[in-house]
Formats: sequence, C-alpha cells, structure tokens
Amino acid sequence: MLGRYVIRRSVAALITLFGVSVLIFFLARVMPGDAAGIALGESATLEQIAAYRERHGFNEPLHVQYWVYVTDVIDGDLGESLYSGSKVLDDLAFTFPATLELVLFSTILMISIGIPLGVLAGRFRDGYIDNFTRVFSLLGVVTPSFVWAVFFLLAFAFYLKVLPVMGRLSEGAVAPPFVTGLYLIDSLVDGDWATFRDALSHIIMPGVALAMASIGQTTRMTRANVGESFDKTYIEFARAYGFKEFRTAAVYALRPALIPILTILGLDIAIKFGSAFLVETVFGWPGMARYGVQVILFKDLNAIVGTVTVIGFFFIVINLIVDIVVAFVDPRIRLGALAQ
Amino acid sequence: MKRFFALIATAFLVASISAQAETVLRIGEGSIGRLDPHEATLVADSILMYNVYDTLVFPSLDGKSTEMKPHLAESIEVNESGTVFTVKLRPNVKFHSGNTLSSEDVKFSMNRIIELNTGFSYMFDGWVKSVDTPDPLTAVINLTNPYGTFYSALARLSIIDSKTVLAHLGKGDFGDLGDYGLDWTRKNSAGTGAYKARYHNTQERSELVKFDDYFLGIPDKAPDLVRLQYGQTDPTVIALFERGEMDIARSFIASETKKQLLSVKGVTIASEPGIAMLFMKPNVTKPPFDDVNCRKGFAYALDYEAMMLQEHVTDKIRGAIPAKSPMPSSHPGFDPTMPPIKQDMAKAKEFMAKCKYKPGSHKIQITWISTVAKEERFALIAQVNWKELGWESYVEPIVWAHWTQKVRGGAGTAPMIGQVYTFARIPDADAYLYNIFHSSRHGQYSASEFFADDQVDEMLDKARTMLPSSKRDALYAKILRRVQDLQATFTGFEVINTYPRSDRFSWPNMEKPNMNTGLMGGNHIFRLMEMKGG
Repeated sequence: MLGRYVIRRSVAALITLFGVSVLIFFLARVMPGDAAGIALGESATLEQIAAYRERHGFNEPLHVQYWVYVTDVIDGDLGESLYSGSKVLDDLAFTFPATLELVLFSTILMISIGIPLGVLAGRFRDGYIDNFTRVFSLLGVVTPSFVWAVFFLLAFAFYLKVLPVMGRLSEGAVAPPFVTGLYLIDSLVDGDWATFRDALSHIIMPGVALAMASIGQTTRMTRANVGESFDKTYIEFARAYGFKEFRTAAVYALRPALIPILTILGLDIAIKFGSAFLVETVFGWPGMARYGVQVILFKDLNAIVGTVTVIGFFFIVINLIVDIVVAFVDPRIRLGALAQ
Repeated sequence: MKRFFALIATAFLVASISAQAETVLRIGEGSIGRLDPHEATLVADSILMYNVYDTLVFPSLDGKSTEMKPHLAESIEVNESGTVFTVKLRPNVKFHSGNTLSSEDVKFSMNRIIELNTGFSYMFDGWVKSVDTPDPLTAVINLTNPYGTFYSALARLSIIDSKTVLAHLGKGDFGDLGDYGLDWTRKNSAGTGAYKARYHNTQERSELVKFDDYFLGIPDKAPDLVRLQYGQTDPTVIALFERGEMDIARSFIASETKKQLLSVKGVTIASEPGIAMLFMKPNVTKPPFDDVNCRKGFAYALDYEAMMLQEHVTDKIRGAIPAKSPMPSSHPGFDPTMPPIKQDMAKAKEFMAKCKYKPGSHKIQITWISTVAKEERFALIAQVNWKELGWESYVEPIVWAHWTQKVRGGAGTAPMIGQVYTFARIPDADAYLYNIFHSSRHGQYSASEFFADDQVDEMLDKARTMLPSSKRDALYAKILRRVQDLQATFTGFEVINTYPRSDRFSWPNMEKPNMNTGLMGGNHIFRLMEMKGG
C-alpha cells in the first residue's frame, strides 16, 4: 500500500518539476533586463549585443527557444552561463554540494537541539527551562540569519579568532577525494581527520547562523505540541502504568506531536536552499544559494533555469520524503490519500 | 657542546625553511573573475588579464612616464595614413605551454577577439581588415580606416597561445574552430604573462603562480602565489584584514568600511586616480532637460562637495576630486585650464530664469542602481538641491539590467536621470568620449543622455582618425569645451579608487610617481610588487 502511495506521489512530483521548469524558463525571459547586454558587460556596443542575441538564439520565438533548451537538457547540457561563461552543469555541480552540506548540517542542529529543547519545555511548562527556551527560540525566530552570521563572524573570527572567516577549507588545504561532494563526509570516508576538522571548523558558523531560526521554530512547535500531548488521557494512562517520565515524554508525548513538526521541517529544509544566500555571502561559502541570487541579478538565463530547477527538484524530493515519513508515522494519512 | 651545535643546526634549518617559504598575496575582488582575456570586461577580469597575458603595447613602467610603449612588440611602425601597423615581435618569448610567441599568435588573437565579439572586441571590430604574417616575428595589421586610438587599443588585445588553444577546441558555434577553445581557456591560462593560473573557478577564487620563463624576468620578492577571492561582504573583509588574511580589498567596498579598516594595524589606503568618473546623466530629449538653460541650472545647483564626501575615506584620504570636464584628467586631450565643476546657486537661478519650463511643470525622476548604495545618496543630494530651485523630484531604485534595457529601448523609455560610474578601458580620449557623446552610440548605457550635436559628432569622427599628436589633443579639448557649454551631461566628479591594503608588500603602481597605467585593472601588476619578509 505504501508502495502505491509513493508511486503516485513520485509521478505527481515529476509533473510538478516539469511545470516548474517551463514556468521559470518563460519567466526568466520576460523579466526586465537584456540578458545579452549584461553578459557582454558595460562597454558592449549595440552591434555586439545584436550579434550576441543572434548567436544565442534570443531572437527566436520563445517556444522555439524552449524546444532547443529541452533537447539540450536531454543531451545532458544545461547550457552556458551567459555571465561567467562556465557550463551551468559545472557551476551547479560545484555549488550544489556546498549548499547541501550547509543545509544538512543546519538541519542536524535544528533536529538535535530544537526537538529536545521543545520536549523539555513542553514537559516543564512555565518552569525555568520553559522560560529560557521561550527567550532562546524567540531570539532565534525574530533575528534574521544574516544578523547571526555577522554576529558570529565578529565574535568568533574577528575578536576571539577561534574560527576561520570564510570558505569551506583553509588556504592551501586540498579538498578530499570526491565521493559525495560534502567535505565532512568525504574526508571521513577518506579517513582524513585533519581535513574533517578543518571542514568542521569552517561550517560551524554558517551552519549555526542558518540553523538559528529553525531551531527556534522547531523548539516552539515541539513545545506547543508536546505540551498539548501531556494534557491527553493516554499520557495519564502511561503515567498510571508507571512508565518512566523520559519514555512517556520521548515516545508517547512526542510521536503524535511529530507530524506537524515533520511537515514544517521538510518545508524548512527546502526553503533553506534559497534563503542560505545571505549566510553564504557573509562567509564566502561557494554555494548554490549565493550563485542563484547572482544569476538572477545578472539575468543569466540558462543559469536561472538550471538553479531553480535543481532547487525545485530538491524541494519536491524533500516534500516527498516528508510525506512518506508522515504517512509512515500516521497511517490515517496514507490510507486517506489512497481512499481518495 | 652538542647542544650548541644542535641549536646552530636548527637555526640554519629554520632560516632555510623561511627563506624558501611561499609568499602569498591575497586579494578580494568583485563577484566573479573571468580568465579568458577575450571575454574580459570587469576589473577582476582585467587584473587576471594583465598578469596572465601580455599585450603588444603597455604603459611604460620605468617611472618616468606612462606613455604607451611596445611590450610584447619590439617596435611598432605606422604608415603615414595610419592604416598599416607593422609589429616586430620580441624574439624568444615563451607561453606558459613552452611554445614560442610568433606572429601567427597575434593574427589568431586578433581574429579570435573579433569573431567571439565579446569583451573589448569593439575596439577592433570594424577597424581591422586583416593581419598578415610575412615572417614569424612580423605581423602587419591592416586597418579599414585610419584609427588614432588603435595603438592604445592594442593594450586591450591579449596575445593568446594559438597552438594550445587549437589543441583544446570544443564543440561550438565557430565552424572548424568549434568553441574557439573557450571551454578550456575559461579554466586554464594560455598566455605569456608573469603568472599562470594554478586554479580558477569563476565563482570562487583564482590562484596564480609565477611563470619562471617570463620574458622580462620576475624578481624573487614578487609574490609566489596570488590568491584572488571573489564575492566578499564588508564584514568579511574587516575580519580578514584583522587576522592578517587579506592584502588588498576591492575599491567598491563602502567608505565607512575603509575608514574602519584604518584602525586595523598595518592597513592603509592605496589611491588610484584617473580611472573613473561619476556621471548623473540627464535624458536630454525629455523636458525639462531638453532645454540647455534648464540643464545648466540643474548642473550649477548640484552640491558636488556633498557628493564627493560620500567617496572620501577621511579628510586626508580622498575618494574623489572635482572634475573639470567629462573625462579623467589622466587622458591625453584633457584641458587643465578648464574651471572645476562646482555648485553655484546664483548661476543656477540665473540659468533657470532663462529656462523655458517652470518648476512644477514636470516632476523629475532620479534613478539609482539598486546595488550601488552610494548612488541613492547622490540622488537624495540632487533632490534637495533641485528642490531649492523649486523643482520636485522622486528617487527611484532600479536594477542595472532593467536600466540598461530601458536605455536600449531608446530616448522614450530611458529614465530622466540615471547614474553611472564610467571606467577608462584605455587612457584615450576617443575611447572615453565617443561612447558618451557621439549620436551613433545612442542606446548604449554610456550614452543614456541621447545627446546629439552635429558639431560634436563631426569633431569626434575627425579626431578618431588622427594619429596621437598635440593637434589631436587640441581637438579633444575643443570637444570637451563644446559638450560642457551645451551641458551634455552632469559630470559628478573624478573618482579616486581607494583600495584598503596591508603593509606586507610594496605596490609601485600605487606608490611611485608615473607608475599609474591609467588602465582599469592595469595597476595590479603582481610582478612589480615586493613581499616584505618573504
């Protein structure tokens, strides 16, 4: 049953992705700005621009341009970045793992800090822990990630000088052999502890800055949902049976509270892919979020479509995974979906 | 005794290690850097270009003058009509590949930049008829018409290793030449320059290392490794300087950041005048700017001192000087006798009284490029100044892409006021003025005034066919006076690029007299720098 549910969701995801690529292809072309002029730079003459437009097929009707694009994509070619000249596929292959690593790192922080804090706050409502958590999560939610980024930069790189300022690795350090593109994992696979430590020291500040808002949000949600669960009769039963408080909180109170948290978590991870831009910029992190904003500003047509499609794909995959996990956790959802 | 010898041995070891330690120069630059010199347009591109590649001519770096001199060329002779340039190349110049420079490389480079039609190709396209190669060390460049700028323009033609490029052709739009080697040259160096690329990623960084066979030799004290990092924010730059991890920042960071950096030990400011100017460009086809008296009134009302204040780092480290005309003072043809452009409210009111439009008849649109925060301040200053004359205006941010599209759309769609920093690609009056004031350039960002004057057109057309001479300079001085009389544009000020820098190296292009090349990106010549304690 779960298998059929997954297939249905996957087909829907593919259709959505196709829709996203069509939409962004046309949107990128109709938004203001002359791509050829920007690509050629400030000193380009009108003759140069006209020749460039011709060479890149910008004078063709939009549906013809789309057809050419699709056939190229089928050949595994996402085109050239009009601005940097690099192949978009190369740019994405370079920047995507950097952002993925950052997002995954901040997600791990979000789960490992946000959920336990929320459970504790929910269990000890209106106590010291709850009050502390409330202030902490509120700060996390209301402070934009770039403010955290600048704050951490000044505190730990400028004044204390205990963490590096920018990049994924120190100057002169060699990236670990490619396995996943995630330096933390690749260096572990390679057994290279020095590189692992170096990569870890570089990801801490951007990772925490990116995670702060979601830690706050996860804490607040978990606290609210777990708090509600503690008012339910099944918790009273659990206590009456004499289950230990930790088991009562972590298993019986948390499990029903997890469903809305998981849904938000999925969305949050996907949104981070776009919103990591400012954090990546502050820490010189060569990621896809920063790349995405740059290419939009420069109206880099192929790169915009490539970046948005990859982010869209990731968004859909994450949501698919979350749906499956939620369906697994709550059978009412998957059975309800199949019944429809 | 044993301990003593061990100590001596250790001291020698440490001394020899430090003597061999690699010296690194770290530079922060703009959002991206492009390595192929025939695609170069930005400052970072030009820095790469002038260190990885060489050109046939380059400003003299002897400290006596910055006159354009043969560089890869041994000599360049021009025929009387100015249409044939005979280039004799230096013998035994090596490319990074080990190939020897020949006239075929000159021919290939010229054809490549013109056919790619990118970067600085507009300086050659339409002017170069053919390149002949009678022998390996002679290239004869035939022009379609006399072109006085051509000699200087050669400072923007990087000579590329044709054999290496031809060995790395990919799929592309150029027939037998495929992609003209672009896919390869965007990541690898194929020049004769003092430095070659060890690593290059357009979005992240470039690492350049010394090229031992450089034809002019490279002093030992020049940096062994140069690392250009792209896309840093101001807080990042501050942290990097504080930790001693940056040597040169880009000039485009905020003046406030530069001022703050001065409190970091060892950080000073390097000044580079004569490369850029700020213009506040009126669309002279739209009322009230279609009336010369109105334009003069608006121009006299502008508070240039307040605008320049936004560029200054401190009272002593100035980021701008008053302009005398719409051309940098370093360019031949600049007339130093012209009065500085400054605010004069009495004259502003006098001219405004002669203006055919009255305040209230039109509301003025002042745009600023949304990624250049300083321009908003200039816009607000103009708004206040013009309000004093009774004119209402509104300030509007606009992204660069949108602004250039509006300008390309013609005089009807171009905004009433746009702001542009214009950089000198080569120190030549034609290269600067033709793109702004010749009517054939309407629609280009640089000519967003849509100014048209037959006399100016005629003089510009004539001057560009003249070979460099005092007569040519005098004609440009006349053109400058004419466009100033007609108030063809609002010249804000002449920019002095200010670069925060560490004290770990010497920078002759910025420190010594007569070493400013006047070329955008042409003052970051790494081989001339000396690392201290390296």
